[in-house]
Order: sequence, then C-alpha cells, then structure tokens
Amino acid sequence: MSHPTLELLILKTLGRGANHGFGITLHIQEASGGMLGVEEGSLYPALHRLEKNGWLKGEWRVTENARRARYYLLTTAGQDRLKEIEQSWADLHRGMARFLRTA
Amino acid sequence: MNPDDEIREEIESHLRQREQWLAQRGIADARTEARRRFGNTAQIHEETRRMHIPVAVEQTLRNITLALRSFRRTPGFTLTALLTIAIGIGAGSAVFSVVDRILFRPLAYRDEARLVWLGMRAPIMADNEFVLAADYSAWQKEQTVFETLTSMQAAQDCTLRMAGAIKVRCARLEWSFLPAFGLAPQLGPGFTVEDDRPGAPPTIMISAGLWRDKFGGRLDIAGQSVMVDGRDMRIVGVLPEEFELPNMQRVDIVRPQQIDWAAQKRGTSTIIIHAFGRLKPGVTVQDAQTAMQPLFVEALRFVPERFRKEVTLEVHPLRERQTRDSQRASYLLLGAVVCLLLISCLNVANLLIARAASRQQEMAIRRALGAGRGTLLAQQLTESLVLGLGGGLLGIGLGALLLRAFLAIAPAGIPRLDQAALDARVVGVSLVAALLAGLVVGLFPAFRALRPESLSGRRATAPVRQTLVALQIACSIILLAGAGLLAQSLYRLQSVRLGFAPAGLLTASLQLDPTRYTKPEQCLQFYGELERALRAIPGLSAVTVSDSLPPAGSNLALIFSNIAVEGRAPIPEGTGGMVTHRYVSPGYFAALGIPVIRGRAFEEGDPQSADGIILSEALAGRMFPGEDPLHKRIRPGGDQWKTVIGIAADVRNAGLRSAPDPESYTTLAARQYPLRSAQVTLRLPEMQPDSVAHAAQLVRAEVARLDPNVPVTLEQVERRIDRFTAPARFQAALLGLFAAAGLLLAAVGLYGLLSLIVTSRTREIGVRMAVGAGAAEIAAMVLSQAAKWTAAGLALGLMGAWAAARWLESLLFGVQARDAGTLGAVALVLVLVALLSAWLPARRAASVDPSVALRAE
Repeated sequence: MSHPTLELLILKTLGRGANHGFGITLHIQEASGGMLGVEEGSLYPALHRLEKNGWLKGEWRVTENARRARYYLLTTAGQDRLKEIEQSWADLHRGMARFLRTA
Repeated sequence: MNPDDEIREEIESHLRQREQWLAQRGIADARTEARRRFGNTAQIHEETRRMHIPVAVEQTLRNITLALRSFRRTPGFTLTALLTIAIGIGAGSAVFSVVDRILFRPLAYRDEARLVWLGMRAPIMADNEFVLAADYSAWQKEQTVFETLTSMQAAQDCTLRMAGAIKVRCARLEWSFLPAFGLAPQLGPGFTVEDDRPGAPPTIMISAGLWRDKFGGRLDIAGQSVMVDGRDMRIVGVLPEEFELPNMQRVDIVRPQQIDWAAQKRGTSTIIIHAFGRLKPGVTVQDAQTAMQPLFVEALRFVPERFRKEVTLEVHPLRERQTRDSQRASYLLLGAVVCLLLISCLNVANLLIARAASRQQEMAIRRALGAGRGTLLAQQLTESLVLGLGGGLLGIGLGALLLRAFLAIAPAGIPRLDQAALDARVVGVSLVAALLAGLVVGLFPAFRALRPESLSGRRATAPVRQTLVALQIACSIILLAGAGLLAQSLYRLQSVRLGFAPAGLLTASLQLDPTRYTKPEQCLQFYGELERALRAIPGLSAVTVSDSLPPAGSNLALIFSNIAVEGRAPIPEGTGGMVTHRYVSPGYFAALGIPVIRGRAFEEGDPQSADGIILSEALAGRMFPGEDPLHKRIRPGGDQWKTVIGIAADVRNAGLRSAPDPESYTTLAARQYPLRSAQVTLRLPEMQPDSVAHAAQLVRAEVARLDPNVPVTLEQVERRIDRFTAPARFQAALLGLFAAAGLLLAAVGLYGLLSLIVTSRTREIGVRMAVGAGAAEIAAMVLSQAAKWTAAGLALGLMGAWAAARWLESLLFGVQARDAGTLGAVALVLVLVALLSAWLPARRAASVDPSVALRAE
C-alpha cells in the first residue's frame, strides 16, 4: 500500500486515541471490513517515519493483557497533518467521483 | 534503549499479541501463522531502522551506492582514474613524510619558535656558529633578551666499554640545557648544578637508543656506573625518546661541561662551545641580534685585529638554522610532487569530462524528469569524492612502498630521515589532498553537465580538454627538465677528478682510549707497529696511517695568514682563508696514489722527513708565486719551522663540489698532541666481497692483537666517496621517477584525448575520405591536432622550467640551470612521446572505412 494511504489510515486510527502497532492493524482490518489488508510488518517503518516527522509520539506502556507494547499517540502537529490529508483525500475523492460521472 | 533493541522488542510484542489473538480463535500453530502475517521480520526491522537515519546521511549513502554502481559499470575508466590519483597521492605522501619533519613539523622541543642558535661565525669554523667559553660567561651574565641561555660542546667519538669496546658519540651539555629546551630526562634526575662544577664526580645521561640496545631498557639504570673513555661514570638519566642535539648530530652519551669559567677568563685554556637561547616572550630574533651586538663587539676584542672583519654575529631561529642545507632540496621535492599531483589531477579531470560528455543525455533526461540541480550536482560530486578517497587510500599504500624505497636509497645527512613514516599526520594530509583533488576535479565537469543546452546532446566543447592536456605536457616538461639537470650534475659530480685513486682502497677508523694513550709517542708506537704488522701480510700493499682522508677535510685547519714564511713579513690584514693540514705516515702519497710533482715524499726513518712539510700545488702556488718553494722554511703553527721537501698534486679535500682547498702535510711524528682517532688505509689487489671481508678480518685481528680495546670501523674508500654523491643521486633518482610517472600520465592523457576526437569525428573522416582524402592526409589531420596542443604545452613548460631554474641552481653541479642542451633534449623526448601517443589514434583514423563510417550513428 502506498505511503499517503497508509499514513492516512494510521493517523485516522490514532485520532481515536493512543494505540500500539498490533491494535492499529486490528482496527484497520476491522474498520475497513477486511477490505484494506496490510502486510502487518509494513506498518512499522511507517510508524517510525511519522514519529520522526513529529506527528506521532511513541511510548512503552502495558496493555490490558499485561504485555509491554509501544503505544503511539497523535501530537498536535499530527492532528493538523491528519486534517490536511483527510481534506486532500476528500478532494481527490470528490474530483474522481465527478470525473467518473461526467466522462 | 538503542533503536535496534527497541524495534526488535516492538516487533516481538506485535508477534506475541497476534499469536495470542490467533490462539484465542482456535487457530492451530498460532506462532507460525503470526509470523506469516507479519512478513519478513529482518527486512522490516531494516526498513524501520532506516527511518532513524538523518536525511542527509541517507542521501549521501544513496549517492555513494549510486557512484559505486556506476563505477562498476565502467571498470576501465574507474581503474585508470584510481591509478592516476594513486600515483599522484602515493608520490606525494612518501615525499611529504620525508620533508614534513624538515619543513613543517614542530621540533621535539617545547615552544620551539622562541629557540635561537647564536654565536660568532668565522672562517675557521664556517659551518658552526661558536662562542669562546670566556665570552659566553660574560654573555650569560649581561644578556637581557633571553629567558635562558645555555650551551653545549659538539659530539665527538668516545669509547664505551661494556663486554667489548664500542665507539659511541659523546657531547657535553651545560646543566641547564634540557630545561632550556623544555625537556626532561625520561628516567632519572638528570644533571644538577653540582654535576656541572669542574672536578665534580663524572656523571652521564644516555640516549633512549643506547639505553634500549646496550642496557636492555632496564628501569634501575639510574645510579649505575659504566666505563667511558677509561673512566667510571655514573648514569643519572635517560634522554627523552626523540632527543637530538640542536646541531642535529647523533649523540649516545651526554656529559656535563664542567667548564672552569675562571680559568677560561684568565685564558689559560680555550674551549669552544655552541650557545642556544630561549627568547623572552615578545622578543624577536632581530631584537636579540641588536641587543647582543655590544657583547659581540666586546668579544671581538680578543680576536686578532686583522681577522675581525671576517667574524660576524649570527642569531637564527633554531629550525631555520638546522634545516638550512636541506631546505632547498626539500622544497624541490615538494615542488616536483605538486607538479606530479597536478598532472594526475588534470588527467582525472579530463577523464571525468569525457565521462560527463557521454552521460550528458542521461543527466539531461533526469533533469527533465524533475531531478533537482542540487541532487545531480551532489551525486556527481559524490562520485569524484569517492574516486578521490579510493585513489587516496590506494595512493597511501603505494606511498608506504615508495617511502621504503626512498629510505633504502637515501643518503646520510637528510635531517630526521630515520623518523620519516606514514603516520596519522601524513595519512591525514594525504587523504585531505586526495579529497580536495576529487572535489576540484569533480566540480568542473559537474557544473558543465548542468548547463541548460545539455539537453540538445551537444558534445562538450573541445578546447577545455585540449587545454588540460597542454597543461599536463607543460608540467611534465618542468619535471623532466629538473630530472635532466639533476642527472647531469650527478654525472659531472661522479666524474670529478679526485686527485687520488680510491679503487682498491680499504680504510679502518681507529679510536684509542684517551686514558691509556696520553702521550704522542704511545700513539705513534701503536700505529707504527700496526703498519709493520699489516705490511708483513702478503696481499696487502701500501699501508698508511693518517688523521683523516680526502675528499673530506682534516680535523685541523690552519689560517693562511698565520703560516709564517721565513724572511717575509706577515700579511697585515685578513685570514687569507683556511688551509687544510693533514698528519700522515710516510707511505700516504704512494698508498693513495697522489703524485708528488716536485721534490720527494716523506720517507721512513728519515730525519729530514720529520722536519719537512709537503705542500699541495695550490698552496705552493699561493705561498710562493714565481718562486721555487723547495727548501723554503715555513712555520705552520706553534714554534717549529718546517722545510718544504715536496709539492703534491691537488686533491679534492672540501667535498666534491668545491675546488680543492690549499693543503699541507707533515708526518705523524711531527704532531705535538696524541693522535687518538686515525685512519689506517691499505690497498687490496682486488675488491671482491670475499677479499674485502678477509682483509677486514685481518685488520681487526691485528688491531685486537695490539690492543683489544680499540674499536675498528672498516669501509671501502669508494663507498666513502659515494656518500658525497649520495644526495645528488637521491635527488636525481626521485625526480627521475616523478618525471617518468608524469610523462606516462601526460602520454595517457594525450592518447585518450586523441582517441576520443577520432571516435567523435569518424563520420567527418568518412566524408572526407569519400570525397577523396587519402589515409596520409587523415593521419596528418589527427597528428596536427596533437602537434598544436603539444606545442602549446611545450612552450608553456619550457617557460615554466626557465622560471623554476632559479630554484634548482644551488643543487646543481657543473651544469647551468638554464642549460639549453638539457632543455632541448627534454623537448625532444616529449615530442617523441607525444608522437608515439598520437600514432595509434592517427592510424585508426587513417584506416576508417568510409562506407562504414557514413552509416555510423
């Protein structure tokens, strides 16, 4: 899956609250009704890149199952970034829909 | 936590959560399934890790990968460029490691910039500024410009007795010597003021080398006693590792001076010392010179009035004074190496331009596709930097080999050569030079490639490359001219007429123990017996003993105007220069093959010989112009009159380069002081290694039979003379090597350029041939291209050589620095080489098949 899409999925998921990598995978699979399958490992380079860009912040916490996991939360910059790409995604979507109608 | 551990743990945590999730849903072998769903953990770890590398670093790494990949695609270019840089850097690093110690690196003294060598210079000791001890004590008290003023006496041979007798070098230092130079012994207390008092129990410090070699580096060495020159002396310290005397003499043992200053003042004895000062902060050398002038004038009062004009006060920074003689040669080598480096840079620049030209369309397309100017520039520069670094590393390897070769052929007397090594500093400088070369060489083609018209696919305009080749030719002319001149002066130096016949001569230097040979007669008896014993051995002929041998001077130099001639008034003013005086046994002239032109040589057991003196032709001519010198009486020094009994032919006695000094000879018996260090010289019928070794063994055995405590050093006289030509040979060999490398590179450059021109003009050539041009005409066209730029380079190079001549002048012998013959020969060699490298491309052009050429492209 290409960068911008995966980025949007991650940011959107974290918009609901902090979560760890496995939790994000589960959410994406469930919320998309299993349509958006992600090779689970490919999530991690993206997470670390987003963190490096300052949109996420990672910290080690304990899960409800009493395991250690690295949780990610959206920073303020991350929230702005989410709004920005949601907007451009919607624009693209509208544009495409219009194109398909008229063409 | 470090990023790797963190990523590993994070992936592990994911896998376990997935495993548990799967297990809860009743999936068999949940662990394997979790891994399958995750993907390749190693690869994902790697990709995640990469997100933590800063962007600039990642960019650079990618550029380097790209560069390496593109080098792999063009191995021919890469190898040529790497070797070219390696040759330049290799020669550079080897030479730099030699000259660095002479020209640039700080001396092994603290704050060396403030150290000066001061003293008087007079014809009697023209090479070393000196002070008389009596004057020095006055300077010590009255000077105002130095923080400390300290002194030493030059190193001399002395004998250290351990298991056997070893000849070593001993110098005497004032107690304040080490502190003044900012040094301290590495072991032991060193000298105290008390040690330096006259009559104090003898103490010594030993060099680090002697300590390791002869005393096994034992830590309890201080306080032990050893026998030096027949006296027990207590070791009070080991000198610092890199210690050297400021006059750069080798030294093994130092003793306190123990000068009786009062006696010096009374004039009952005269000791010659060398003085060194540490300037007070802010005081310049010029200030010191001015401030010392009144004290110098005071000291001059004790110099005989007629000599005063020839004595000067000299104050020089220590380094400048030390490297005075080798600076020229060092700069010459450095200049030559810069020339070679320049040639290799020009060559690589040309290669890169050619490469850039062939990649112009690739670059243009990439730009059109949106690659930024900066990205492309960075990528090209990375390529040339990688090239520079690779070539530099290769070059340092080559430099290590070259340095070893240099050291093998290097003459004695290059300061600090034993310390020359490819250490961190040299390697650092070489790498920086290589990277700089890569950068400069890469910038030019990189910018050219980015010019907007590149898209049209037009070729790089040619004259730039031609200019680079012409410059290479110019540089190699300069190198060749230098090498040619040095080779010629080496030849002239080696064919100098010595005035004696060294072939077949073997000489042994002996050192008698001063405590046991206190009277002249004891020495004489020893030499007499040795001479007789050696003569009795069949196969050895013409044995002689003398205090020294040409082409060096002797230890004794007389002032010409001090030699009294019976019935003649002394010369009123000036010294008249110096006269070399040698003490010789009667067989000297016959043994060395020096013709006695008039009168006769000394004879054994002849009373007239003992009172006689033999003059060299030059001295006789000067002392008795238009008169017959035979039977004249002269007094060379002291109070004994000598009668001239013979005139000997002139012999080179001041090195090979200078005309012979006037020389006089008396017999060993005429010497009033004991002669403890002497040369025993003998002639062998043949100079085979076996016979030399055999004769050496015989001499050692005879000396040991007479006195087992006399150290003997044997040498072939021809080898000894080789030492005088060694610097010239070294310089000529090095410059020759550089010139050859430079010429080769320039030839490769020219060949490469012409090949490219021929290839790019194949179509044009085809057209010309189709309309009737002959093969000869085509070849001539290519050759004329070569000729044009070769001629330009030649002209430029000859001008350069002409300008550089000034630098060479002082190193040459018997040949002018602007010798037309040499320059002509160099030009000829270069034209021949240029023709040779133009020949192949020209032939290829001439053999172009028009029908094929026209269909090309």
